[in-house]
Amino acid sequence: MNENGALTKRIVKESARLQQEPVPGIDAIVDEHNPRYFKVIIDGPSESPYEGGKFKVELFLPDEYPMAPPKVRFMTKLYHPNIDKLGRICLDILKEKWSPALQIRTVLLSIQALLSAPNPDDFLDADVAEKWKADEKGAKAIARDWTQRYAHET
Amino acid sequence: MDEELIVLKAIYLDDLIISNDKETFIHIKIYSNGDENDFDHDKRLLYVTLIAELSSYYPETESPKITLCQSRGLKDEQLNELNSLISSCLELNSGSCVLYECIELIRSKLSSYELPHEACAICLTSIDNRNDIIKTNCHHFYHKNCLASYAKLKKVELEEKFQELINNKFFIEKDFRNDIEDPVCRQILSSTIIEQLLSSSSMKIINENHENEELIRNLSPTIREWQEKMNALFQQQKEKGGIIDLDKNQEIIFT
Repeated sequence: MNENGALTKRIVKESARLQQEPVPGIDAIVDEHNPRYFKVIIDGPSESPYEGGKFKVELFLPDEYPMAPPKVRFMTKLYHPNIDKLGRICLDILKEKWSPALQIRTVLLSIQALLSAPNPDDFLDADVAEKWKADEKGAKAIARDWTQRYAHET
Repeated sequence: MDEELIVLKAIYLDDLIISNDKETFIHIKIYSNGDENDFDHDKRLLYVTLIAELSSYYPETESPKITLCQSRGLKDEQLNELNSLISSCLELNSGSCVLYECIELIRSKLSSYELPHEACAICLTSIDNRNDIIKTNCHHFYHKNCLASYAKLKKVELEEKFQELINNKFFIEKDFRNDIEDPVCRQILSSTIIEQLLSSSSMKIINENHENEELIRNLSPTIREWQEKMNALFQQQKEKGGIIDLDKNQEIIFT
């Protein structure tokens, strides 16, 4: 088998494992038309302002994957200092700290952890970060309200 | 016992260390066989250290106390297997000289474990061919091709970043252009390893369409069910205005 085959095989393995041993609180399903595109739902972590929300995330594996990181974006609106209006995520492992030993599941777990622990010092959305630093309680209330409004199942 | 130790010393030379305190200890690092002509220990992938404590009643009435430690490349089950092999060997040969027996038993077993048990962390497939392996300075194993294509991509990225800093006249504290990290432990790879990787024949990552089709054909019904569930949730959130509208937002950003 050539290396290219081996790397594509990695994607198949990851897809299968995501289905067989799902990560608690995360559903990741490969798209029906494109095996490099994943539809993901991340449950808002308990004891966070995102609790009870089901957040849709899209994840795309570029041709260079796993040498280059997957591209990940929130589709559901959420109020978070490290996630901007377009749903883009500020997370080091999605950029310069990417390593090919990381996988789809580790990336999604990191994103879920980011929901539990927002980091307003390394912000992506300046407005949200400012609010978060000035009035954390108020910011969390907004985040909870958005979760209620946009991310609840019913 | 003394005679046995003399013979062992003659066989294993400097690999075997004998120390006499109250009890006699022997200490030997056992490597897997590797290539017959390859005596370079660094190229051997697996080893384990055997320590035997010999009381003055050995071998007549007491077996040696054997411990295995400081292993490399072995998983717990394999170490357990080695330990149980030793115990049964000791039991079988109680009353006679058993050290050579034990050492060679371990060596032959190690050689059967020769290939590292972990799959390559980059492509997630097992490493079946000895010639494909690269071991990093931090003792992680990969397919050479897998690590090479990562190193090459990372090198380009680092060069670009460096150039950008220079172009913008930033102060550069340290030349980081060769700071390629081990994918698993993030320790910086040694220059010898990097050289080896960057000079290896290049490999393209292409994604062919027919592979995609095949992948999709293999989807199980469960996945299809989940896909439908997700689509339903998406619609629901969309109706409530909870989905980020990229087109609309692009306008906001650019105007």
